[in-house]
Amino acid sequence: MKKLFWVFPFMLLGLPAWAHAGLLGAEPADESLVETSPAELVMKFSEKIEPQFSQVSITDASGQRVDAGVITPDAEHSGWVHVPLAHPAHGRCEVLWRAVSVDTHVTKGNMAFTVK
Amino acid sequence: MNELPVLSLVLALHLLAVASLWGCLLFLRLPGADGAAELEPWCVRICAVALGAAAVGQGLWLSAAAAQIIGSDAVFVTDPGLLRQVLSSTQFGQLWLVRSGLLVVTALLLWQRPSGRPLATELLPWAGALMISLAASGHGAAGEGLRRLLLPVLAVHLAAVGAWVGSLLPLARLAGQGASAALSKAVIAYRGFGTKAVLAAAASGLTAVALLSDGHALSWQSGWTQLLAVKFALVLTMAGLGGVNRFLLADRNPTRLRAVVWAEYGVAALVVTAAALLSQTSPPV
Repeated sequence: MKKLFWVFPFMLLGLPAWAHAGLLGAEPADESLVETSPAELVMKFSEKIEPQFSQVSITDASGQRVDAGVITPDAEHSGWVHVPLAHPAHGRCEVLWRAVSVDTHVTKGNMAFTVK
Repeated sequence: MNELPVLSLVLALHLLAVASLWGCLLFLRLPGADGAAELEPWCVRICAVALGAAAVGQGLWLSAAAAQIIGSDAVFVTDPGLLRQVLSSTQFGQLWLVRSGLLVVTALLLWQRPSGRPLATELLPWAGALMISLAASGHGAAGEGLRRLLLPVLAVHLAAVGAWVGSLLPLARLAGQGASAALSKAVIAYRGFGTKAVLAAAASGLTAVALLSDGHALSWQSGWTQLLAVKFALVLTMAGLGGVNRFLLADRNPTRLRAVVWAEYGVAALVVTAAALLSQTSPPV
């Protein structure tokens, strides 16, 4: 019993310390050089995201937005999403993203890849 | 970041309310605490207040979470169309609907309870579901790999934490009625109850921390770690108050016991708030 009153409060230290969805990788990868314009960008997040409220924009060297404005979750890999390109990309492509994880936390970031 | 403190306060309100409901009902079922049953009429009022606060917190949570999800400058959003979209197309929304249903059922059972039916018998399963389902609202729902274990681990943890925090309320009430055999029995019964809750909470809490940190060291430069330090200081305060209760007061001085238990509950509210803030902040791992 003596331990009870001392140990009790310490259990609260373990209350949820939820993380946020981080970008683990992508295909094409960040700062990579690809031969041809990819059909899609695959983004690999550390946790599942809400596609309806997440945003990804891909702008190529001409300043044209080339993504289709759609984010589709991967059927097999949790946390992976597919961002199809509506137009062929040219030159350096800047990717801005805002991810809403399923626990409602929001993360933002950017990456880039270059099409030869 | 501006909306985070408000969202955290809303979460803390909801968590504290549900914990108060759950712990209060558990206290009524303490084996050996004969006098606890006499608290039932008072506990009915506490449960009503807790349900009301939980409902307010639940509503504000949806509004604040929706604002965070869409990146609104406003702390709360009230657009019905947007709220409907959040409810229908997000995992958070689905869980919110289920938990709202639990709140409604619990409230109906409280108000329509047939006379003579023990309060705890009717409400305890629903209050327990409300408590442990909170585990699915955070990272427990988003975990991958080993982190999938977070869901059951956090469920156990929340149940244990809620048992402790909520049971302080009827304990304070009993102490407020002065020295009695009922108080003595309740204090003795509370020891066994607390020991079980501590073991469950300590084990689940340590497991949750291990799963979340992935074994990484925490950087003192991060806001998350600094928040954790604040929370740790609050927990130490609680430990001090708990020590006063155990070693100096117990059932020998009910008036002071009541005051210190209330103080402990107050600090618990701050700890819950710190936990809610931590839940909205990314750890440095």
